[in-house]
Amino acid sequence: MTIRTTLLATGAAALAMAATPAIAADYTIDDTHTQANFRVTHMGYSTMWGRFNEESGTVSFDPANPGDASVNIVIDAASIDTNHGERDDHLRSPDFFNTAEFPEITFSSTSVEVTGDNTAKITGDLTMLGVTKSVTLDAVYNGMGNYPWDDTTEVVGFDISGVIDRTEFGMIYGVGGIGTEIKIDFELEATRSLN
Amino acid sequence: MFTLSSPPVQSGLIPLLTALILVGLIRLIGGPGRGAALAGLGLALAVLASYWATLRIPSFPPVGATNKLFYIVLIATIAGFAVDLIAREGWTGRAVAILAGPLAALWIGLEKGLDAPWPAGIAVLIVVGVTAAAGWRYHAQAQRNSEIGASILVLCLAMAACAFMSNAASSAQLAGGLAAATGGFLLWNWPKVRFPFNNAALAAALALIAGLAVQLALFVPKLETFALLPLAAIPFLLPLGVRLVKGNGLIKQGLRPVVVGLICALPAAAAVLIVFLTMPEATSASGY
Repeated sequence: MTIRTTLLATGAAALAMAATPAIAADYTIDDTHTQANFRVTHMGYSTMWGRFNEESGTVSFDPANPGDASVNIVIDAASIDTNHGERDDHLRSPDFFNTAEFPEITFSSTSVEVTGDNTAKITGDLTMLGVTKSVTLDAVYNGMGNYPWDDTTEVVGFDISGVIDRTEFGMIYGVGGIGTEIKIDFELEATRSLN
Repeated sequence: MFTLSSPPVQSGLIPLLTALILVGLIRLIGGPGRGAALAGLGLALAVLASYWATLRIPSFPPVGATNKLFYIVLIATIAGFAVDLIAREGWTGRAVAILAGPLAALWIGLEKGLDAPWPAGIAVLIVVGVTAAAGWRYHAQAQRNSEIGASILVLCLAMAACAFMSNAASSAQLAGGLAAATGGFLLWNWPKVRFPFNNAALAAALALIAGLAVQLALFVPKLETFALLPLAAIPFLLPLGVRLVKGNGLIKQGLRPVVVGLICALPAAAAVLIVFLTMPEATSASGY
């Protein structure tokens, strides 16, 4: 093989690699650095904040091709926490999240529309109380990298937010006093091992 | 205070007044024969009115237990009313009374019961058995209108108290709504008995009681599964009250449901006490 043909072959291989679309990496949601928060108006006088303490799921993401990203989230409904024990018990009852009958809340993305340098709209199926509805949430990509103390783990982070109408999922108790619009703020960190 | 969003209005005033007005109206329109026989429909409609005031109309098909309760009462009311229109005394009436509770219990609890035979499955079976037997007994004593009403009133008040203590507010309100609707019916039937506790009223009441019992036992985390078991005795205490107060004078007629109610209050109090004693602490550190 001459030097010329070797250079040509190397160049062709490099071009072929560049033309191949990057494959999105799969990340696992890091429960310790992820929060599923919500807020709802209480009688119109104040806004009550709450969160779910246990969530899991996966994110598939390639920064070069964010439109192909996907996210699957599973929330343990019984892990609801509004910093008020009696209220949490009521929220777990059939009046609200009915956690004994419907223990999980899930979100599974179906499409991602990139809207800016680090923003996108994520549309997906939200299942709560056994009812599945398509919802669109706003996402902000916060970045990707390693922990300073651990270069074998890659981290990616997003803020995802949106508004849902609880009555569309059959949560109909307390309408008129407790707001029907629930604002969701999902602070998400996901990791993958580089080993 | 007296707005539609107030629980005492949703579960007290609305069902009480709706039952009182509709029972009288149906009797007035239908006359002393047919009108009196159908008047109990007012009780069933008052329960539906209470559900609407508390939760509005749920979507169809319903998914969760609470949403199913509306359609359970609606179907039971229609079935009972159809029987009242066609053949109140026949086997169809008995069949509706016997089946209303078990079908409601199975619709709400079958899936969970199959998932976890112990304790959920056993609890569903108990509700199925008790409400079927209660339907049989109540239908067989259909002439004891005010005594049936008194026992259902006490049972529902106890169920409402147990649900309220367990942070299941809508269940408490729906049980309270049935108690109030029964109260509206009883105002026409006490001390003088006027209208039968007909199939529409009986089917709606038993279906809601069965549905609520399963919902409370299976889906309210704060309530022990079998805490409501003493309430199962209530439908079978009528003969005791009737035996204690014999005779058909107006005073005896008025006294009998009171005695039945007092006897039923014993297992009712036992259930409330068990719920109170077995209630866990709030699950988070903070509390009211």
